[in-house]
Amino acid sequence: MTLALLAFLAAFALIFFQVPIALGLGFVGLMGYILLNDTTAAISMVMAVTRDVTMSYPLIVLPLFILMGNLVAGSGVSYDLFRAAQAVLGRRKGGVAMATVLTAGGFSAICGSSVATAATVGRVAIPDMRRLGYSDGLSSASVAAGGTLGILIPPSVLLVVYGVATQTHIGMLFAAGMIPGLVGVLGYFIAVKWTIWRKPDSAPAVMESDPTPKARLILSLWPVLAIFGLVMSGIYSGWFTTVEASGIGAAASLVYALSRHSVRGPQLYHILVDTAKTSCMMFAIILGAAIFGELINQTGIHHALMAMVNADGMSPFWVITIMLLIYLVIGCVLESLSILLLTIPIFFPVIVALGFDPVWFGIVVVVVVEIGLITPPIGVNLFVIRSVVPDIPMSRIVLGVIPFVVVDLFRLALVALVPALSLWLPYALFPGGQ
Amino acid sequence: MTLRSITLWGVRVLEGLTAIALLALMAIVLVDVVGRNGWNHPLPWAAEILEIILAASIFLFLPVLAIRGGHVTVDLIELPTMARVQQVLSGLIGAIVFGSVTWALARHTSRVAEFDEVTPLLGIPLPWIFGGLTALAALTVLLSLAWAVCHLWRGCTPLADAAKPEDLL
Repeated sequence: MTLALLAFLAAFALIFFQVPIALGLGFVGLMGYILLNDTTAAISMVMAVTRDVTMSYPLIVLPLFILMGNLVAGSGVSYDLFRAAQAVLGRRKGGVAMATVLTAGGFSAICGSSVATAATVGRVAIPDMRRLGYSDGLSSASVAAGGTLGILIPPSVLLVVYGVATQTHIGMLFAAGMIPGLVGVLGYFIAVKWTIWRKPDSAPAVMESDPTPKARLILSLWPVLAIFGLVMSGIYSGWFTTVEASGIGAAASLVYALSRHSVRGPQLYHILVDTAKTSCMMFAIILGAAIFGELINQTGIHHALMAMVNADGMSPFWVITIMLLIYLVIGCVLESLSILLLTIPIFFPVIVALGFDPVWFGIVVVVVVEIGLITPPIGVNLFVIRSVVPDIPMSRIVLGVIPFVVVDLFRLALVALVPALSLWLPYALFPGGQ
Repeated sequence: MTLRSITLWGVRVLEGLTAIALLALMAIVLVDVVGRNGWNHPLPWAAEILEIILAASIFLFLPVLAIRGGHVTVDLIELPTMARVQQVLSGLIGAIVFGSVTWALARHTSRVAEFDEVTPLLGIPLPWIFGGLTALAALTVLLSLAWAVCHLWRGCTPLADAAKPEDLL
């Protein structure tokens, strides 16, 4: 126990001294392992981990889903999504902010990442909202919060990593994210309404409407629906696996992006290199966290934790509550992939031993990690907004996002307390379970 | 040619190769699925080659991240006076971590070379694969050290492109 805590302390110290997350974790893991065993054992461990992480068939999904999201983002489909969402919701007060949330939700269906969602939707929606007279706070907050749906509504890169790390069925995890994701969209609608109720001048009164017929705007979204439909129906019909779905999705997005003439040779190359970079950074973190995880496993902290839970007779409800509080605190200072990889080796065995459903826990973890994306000081999506619109001060973004965080906390409680919200759909699609 | 232009040229080559690897990953999955569902002719060796290409795509880009200082970093606490110390430390730690990976891969390469091991279906010699990965890991170590040295020496301008957490997911 003490050893594990020391390891965490050392890793956090390095990370806050601005040593890259991947390297800090890998270094502490390596040194700890050498101290506990010897160099030969440590090198064998590094070899096994390197092979498991970099030559992992299920993890092929990561670069391919990232590529799919980047290609679709590059194709400019977010403009169509935003126009259609505006046509449906835009005329009421606060409607464009809601349309932004809906656009983010729709974009999440073809993009597995929060940052890509927030960046893509932000580029389209924030300038429009500001032009129409929406306050900076509401404009930026609806994009930052809406972007978090990217890792909940399938496909989701984070759910893939959770699935691989815990050997949970990825198709079931994707299905489980659907309803909580839609609840998230509704929750953010409430946050928009709430913001306007508190500060009526944060949104203009009446909006001009797009003369194009609604039906035509909605029909123009068929490629998005087609790609999402292809990927998901393929997974659920058993026609292809998740890995294959990611390859098909990426290929379909490539064809779509090229057919729209918005992506040509140089842009395509840029998208590929960008995808390679994101994917390599993620694999580096997975590798570093896996080496660190080997050390943590050796300390046997999860056994100690389990013994503690049993000895105190702590109720499962409190165990989950404490875990969620820990997630909320770490969420303020670390990014989501590292949080997931650092906590899963410790928490997951406890969760399974207490008899909780691994699919349900995956969704709970992603929802709580999502909140971390929009809470300062390291709210990743807040920084994304800053890089899209550098002239909006951080303080205004943070103030604007508060109602969205509050709504999210309610959603977290809902998803945690009502497992049926996440579990009904996956068990309906996969009646036999795992 | 200066050392800097050689490095930039090398970075471009590695980026280009990784881009090709990603396209190959996508294309092989596509051909496999279409072949299986359309013509009942899957690629039996798809999984084997995909794992190798995935590893290649990662190891090809690690040196680029090393020389650009491109790994994800959390800059919660700004310490301007310590900036150089932090970068030197990051470079050295990177060299140690990837040094252990290089060592592990080199040892594994010599083991598979001893028995002339090949992949089960395509018969690709494993020493080539692991030897290649070892070389790329060694290059990562070298460039991590270069990053550290460059920050020690005032006359050197690093090819900085540090990633923030928001570049990630």
